[in-house]
Amino acid sequence: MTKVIEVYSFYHCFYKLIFYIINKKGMIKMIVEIKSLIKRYKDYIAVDNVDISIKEGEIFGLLGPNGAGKTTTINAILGLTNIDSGDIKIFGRNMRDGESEIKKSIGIVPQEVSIFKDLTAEENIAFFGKLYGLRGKMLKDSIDEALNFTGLLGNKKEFPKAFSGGMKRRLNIACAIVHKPKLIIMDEPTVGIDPQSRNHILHSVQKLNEMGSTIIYTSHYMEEIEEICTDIMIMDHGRIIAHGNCDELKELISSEETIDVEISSVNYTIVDNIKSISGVRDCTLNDKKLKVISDKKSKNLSRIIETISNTDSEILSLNVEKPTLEGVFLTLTGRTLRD
Amino acid sequence: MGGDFVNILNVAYYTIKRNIRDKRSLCLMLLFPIVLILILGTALDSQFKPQNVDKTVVYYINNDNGEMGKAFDQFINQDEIKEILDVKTADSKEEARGIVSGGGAAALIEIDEDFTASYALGEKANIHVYNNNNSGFRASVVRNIVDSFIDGANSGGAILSIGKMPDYKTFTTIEDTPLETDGKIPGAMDYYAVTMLVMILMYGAGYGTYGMAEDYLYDTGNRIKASPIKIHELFIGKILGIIFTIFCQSMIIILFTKFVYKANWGNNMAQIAYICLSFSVFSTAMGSAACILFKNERTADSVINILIPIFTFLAGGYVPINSSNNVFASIRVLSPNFLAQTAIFKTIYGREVLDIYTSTGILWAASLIMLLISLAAARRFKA
Repeated sequence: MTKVIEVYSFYHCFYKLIFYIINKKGMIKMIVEIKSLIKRYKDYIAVDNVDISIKEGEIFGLLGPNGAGKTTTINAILGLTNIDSGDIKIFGRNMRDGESEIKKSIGIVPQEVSIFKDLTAEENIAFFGKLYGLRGKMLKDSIDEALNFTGLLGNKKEFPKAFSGGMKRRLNIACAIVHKPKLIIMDEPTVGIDPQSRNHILHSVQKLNEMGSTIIYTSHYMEEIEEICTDIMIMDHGRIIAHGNCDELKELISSEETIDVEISSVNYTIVDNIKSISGVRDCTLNDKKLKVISDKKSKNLSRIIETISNTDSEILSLNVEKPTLEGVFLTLTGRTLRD
Repeated sequence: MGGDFVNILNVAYYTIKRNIRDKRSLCLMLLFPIVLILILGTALDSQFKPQNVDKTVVYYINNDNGEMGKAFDQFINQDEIKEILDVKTADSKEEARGIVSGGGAAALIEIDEDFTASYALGEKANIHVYNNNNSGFRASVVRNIVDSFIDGANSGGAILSIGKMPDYKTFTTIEDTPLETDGKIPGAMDYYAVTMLVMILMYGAGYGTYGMAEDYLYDTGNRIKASPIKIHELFIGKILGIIFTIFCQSMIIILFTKFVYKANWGNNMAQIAYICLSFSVFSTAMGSAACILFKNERTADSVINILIPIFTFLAGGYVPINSSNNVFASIRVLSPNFLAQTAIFKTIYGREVLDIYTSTGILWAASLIMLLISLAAARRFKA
């Protein structure tokens, strides 16, 4: 565990150094820069000395269990909560130096579905569009675009009370994107919905990103973060415990890989032969199921397959287990994301 | 500044639209008072009508055969007196007293045997009036008539004592000037149209409570605050929308009761509308302040729902209270319903309890204080 954190710290410092050099040269435009953010609720520290830098065009994933400090961080970015210390810049500006202008370029998809049940889908989007200064034809066109984008164009005259959970979530998103924001903050936008709606939303997030929006996406579903995010930060107890892209995070914990092989007949000489291959740390056979634990860097998979093929056993199936973000979180905190 | 105004109008517009679509609240705010006014106005109609007073039955025993006894005979048999009293004679004092005690007559008038003699000698001369405890105002009528005879006799005696003959003239002492009550005092329908309107305007505070909860306690509010709209724009827009909603509801109730129930709303509808507007502002401010100060919609609602019946009762909203108790009079002025009701009744019937502009001025001042406190607290609200 200590070793993992040391590796992370080294990587993190190196990453920051490279990033600092590139940023100094003006090659990367920063959308959000948070330095030393601290937020306390009485004696409880919700966010503890957090630094975040989000580049333009990223889908930035903030991963962590409930109570990790994700929503508090989001509220701090939006100026919805007073912070105890730290500095937050959005589009290079401090919120107090142009709150209204900055907010015009941000869209927020709150964790709870925050729409008016007594306004139709179209009216809900119109209300929020007007708050962002849209008027007349531009408003009308933007409403239709938002409805179309979220697949609700055919339901625009309907009231949300007739909507499924997934449709409400999509309307929640439509209200956030009507003004075409440069930065979209999505706070757990897929909680409690069916897989089809979840896929629709994840696909929408990627499309919005392709259309030029930078996205901050918080979730405690590691599969979602893994699927769509280009940069990931893992939070726990208000602190950042890991940062990088998906592969980099997995690298942090994984020096070995597990290969599961199902063979046609039991042959114990295979076990000894595989154990003698360079890089293999362990090999066990349990009822035609062979489990090989090997050094990831040894690249010995072809030799393992060849060794099995040289016996009278056939390979029925083979699976190389890859590390997951869940595994990363488990390794770093000793808990699973849903604990 | 233009953007501020547009944002305020935008929030107000959607607030009104949503309130109109809120059928449950509309039902409470429109149907409930309309039904309540009908029930109370019909059921208690007789309590509000001036009663016709029939003749007061009185027994009369005159034991004096002298001049004064005859004079009283003449007096009590005048036509004017006969319109008021039904004078009956009794065979004995005991019999007459028994009838009076049994409620068969309001009083017994008895003149002593030596009444004329005593009067002539300047001594104490008595006309006795006996009544039972339940005779009420009828006994007072009898006593007043007897007193008027005695006053006349005493005046005559005084004139004689200074050597002049009294110059008797017949005066019509009871003039026939019937009181026209129609439109001058409220009937039950008129009364409850006003008091139930005021009560329901107070229940409009619920709109204020919910409106503030939505913007400052619930997630939708956070989303709105994450937009470029300023807190004061959101606050003013929401308050204006709610006031407009409550005010329109009050106008609907007034028009309905005026044309369907024929309730008397007087001739100065502009002033009635001004009073309703003042009270709409007050109830909105009260609901908003309660929500923001308690930071909990349900607690605020509970407190308001306890206060409204108390305010309504103190103002005489359920039953008219004509108490002369000074403490009660001081307490009832604290009821905002009383201030609004007083202003409306004054406008319709011209009765001066508190000046209209004093009443509404108090309501506006209280509203302003509550709204400023709410706005200040709202600006400090953070997630």
